[in-house]
Amino acid sequence: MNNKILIIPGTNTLEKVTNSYFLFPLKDFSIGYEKKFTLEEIPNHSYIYINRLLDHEDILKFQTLLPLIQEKVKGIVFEDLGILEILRENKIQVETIFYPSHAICSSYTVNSYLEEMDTVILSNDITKEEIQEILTKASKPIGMLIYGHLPYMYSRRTLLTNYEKNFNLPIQKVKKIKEPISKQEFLVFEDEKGTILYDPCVYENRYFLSASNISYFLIDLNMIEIKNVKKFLEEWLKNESKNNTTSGFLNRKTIYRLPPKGGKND
Amino acid sequence: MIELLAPAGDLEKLKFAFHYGADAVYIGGQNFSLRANAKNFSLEDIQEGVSYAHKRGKKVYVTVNIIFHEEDVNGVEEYLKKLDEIGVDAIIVSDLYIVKLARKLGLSLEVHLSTQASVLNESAALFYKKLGVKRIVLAREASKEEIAAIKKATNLDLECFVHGAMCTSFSGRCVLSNVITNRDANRGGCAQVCRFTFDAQEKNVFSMTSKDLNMISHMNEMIKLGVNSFKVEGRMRGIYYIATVILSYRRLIDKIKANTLTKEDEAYYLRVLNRVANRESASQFFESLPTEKEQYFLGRQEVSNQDFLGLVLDYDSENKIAKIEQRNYFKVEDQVEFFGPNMETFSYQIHKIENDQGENIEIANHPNMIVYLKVDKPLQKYDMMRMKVFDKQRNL
Repeated sequence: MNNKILIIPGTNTLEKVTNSYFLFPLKDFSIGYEKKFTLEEIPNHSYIYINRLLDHEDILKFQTLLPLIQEKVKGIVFEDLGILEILRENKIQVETIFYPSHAICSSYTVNSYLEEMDTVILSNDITKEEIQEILTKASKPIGMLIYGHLPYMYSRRTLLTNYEKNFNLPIQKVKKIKEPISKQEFLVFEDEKGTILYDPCVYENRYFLSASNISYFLIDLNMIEIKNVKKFLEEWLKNESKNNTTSGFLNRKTIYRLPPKGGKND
Repeated sequence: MIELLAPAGDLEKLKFAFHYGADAVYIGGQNFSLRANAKNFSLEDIQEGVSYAHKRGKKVYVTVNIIFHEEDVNGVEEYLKKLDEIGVDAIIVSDLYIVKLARKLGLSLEVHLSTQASVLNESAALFYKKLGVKRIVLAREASKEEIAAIKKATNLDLECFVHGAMCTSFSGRCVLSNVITNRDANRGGCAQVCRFTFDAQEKNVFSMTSKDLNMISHMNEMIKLGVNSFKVEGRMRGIYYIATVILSYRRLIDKIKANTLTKEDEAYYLRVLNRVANRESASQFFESLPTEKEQYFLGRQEVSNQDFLGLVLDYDSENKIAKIEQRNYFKVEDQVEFFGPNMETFSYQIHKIENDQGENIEIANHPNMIVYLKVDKPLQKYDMMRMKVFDKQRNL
């Protein structure tokens, strides 16, 4: 396996595996993570993760971090294109990795972004056939999430606090909810910058271990017990399957136009 | 430039939106647009809509705002060229591929960035400006501080939603519909899962449903902040909703421009808009983060509205007879109001209803039936008759 692995640490530490780097959720700039890190806390040549859409105050604050970023950071994985613009304007030499969760679903989109940055992480809502086609057509190596809780929704609202205040309940920052008809569960995770809904089952993508044109495999250990991750890595390297996980949309094609009455969807 | 921008789900709605005071409309074609299950516009419809708009000095924007999958790309290049050839004023896009394709093709139409891109800061706005984007539809989550900062740093045309439904999520950052219903939210299939209820561990159900957006009380401030286009949500809404909402904002903007807006005006328009809405509303993120007061907690709480009683199809000024197409039940003795873009709203008590056979009837209870009323004050085609719900008469 020659591709690099980016590991987002959880509350427990994990020893690095071959060719891996830690990707640290940056305190005040990331959302939905149990453990976040300041630039002072991370070792040199690290990757930092900014998975939030930033407001005006965030932008001003981020600009004050630029000297330390230049000194300590090897690459930034970001959701907000404002980060890229600031790095360019200030000629900060770090690797730029765009990961917008749901907005990179075709090779045409991938190649448009690759003209602007070093690499992108594919969306988590496409099939494995779509991923394969994108890998074939991408103009540069690209990344993908292979392990972790899939984020399904990101809100600027504090949804748990609002709910708990409304019903006079004790404030919790993580709650499991279930849609009663589909029985689909979600893990609601709130912090001061908003709320994320995750799939409580861990997502595993084992299909592309040997694929070419991949820059990074992303492993997200947020809210995951360390023993499960170690097991996944062992099995993954041996290409074995495992139960009690989700493959997300890898084997599930979505539709967007309802079938006409009495006919099938075109 | 200050523009009132209306939704239009089909040609009829486009014409009503312009008639009631919109400066521009946004529409969806039959492909590449969110609201995939709406009627939408064929290319011939778009051509007719553009021609209708341009004859009146108004504009048409076409949404090409899906996130493209590999299978969706076929035909988009030809489609964009055709829109340009038709004379569409702008496309509203969210996928960077389309931003760049429009530039590569050398199209003369403008590229506006959709709210699906959720631009919330000046640096992200600058990124898109450098790629040729002329206007940004800001994230609905943008506060007044963010609007001001983006305007100052970019001087781009800024478009903000001022009225209508809200997503709970940042736009484009949600696939709950994909998970629960297999319908892709970012390609127009959104099933509005954020309006569902969920089982929680407690006895209460969990809900994250947002109330609607209503910026009537902040329009003056938004204009001062440099917002150029004021956008009303609702391509699936009917003509009565569009007419009422657009006329309210039209009158409000005109009063702001003329420096004649009063607090009483604002309060009146707010009442009118609340009446036509099917959910409660708030200014959401403009002043501060929404709290529990801007949400619902018991699932969908929507009311249907039967205020729209009839559409004026013709007016015989000599005999003072209005020809009206019925839209909801009304009867003799009912107190109603007439409103329209070129008149002051007035109250009217129905004394006599005549059907299209010339017979007197007591009630108008068949959808789309034609009736005749004697109305002394002059009316025009496409004025509307609604239930009278307020005692105080104002000049809407």
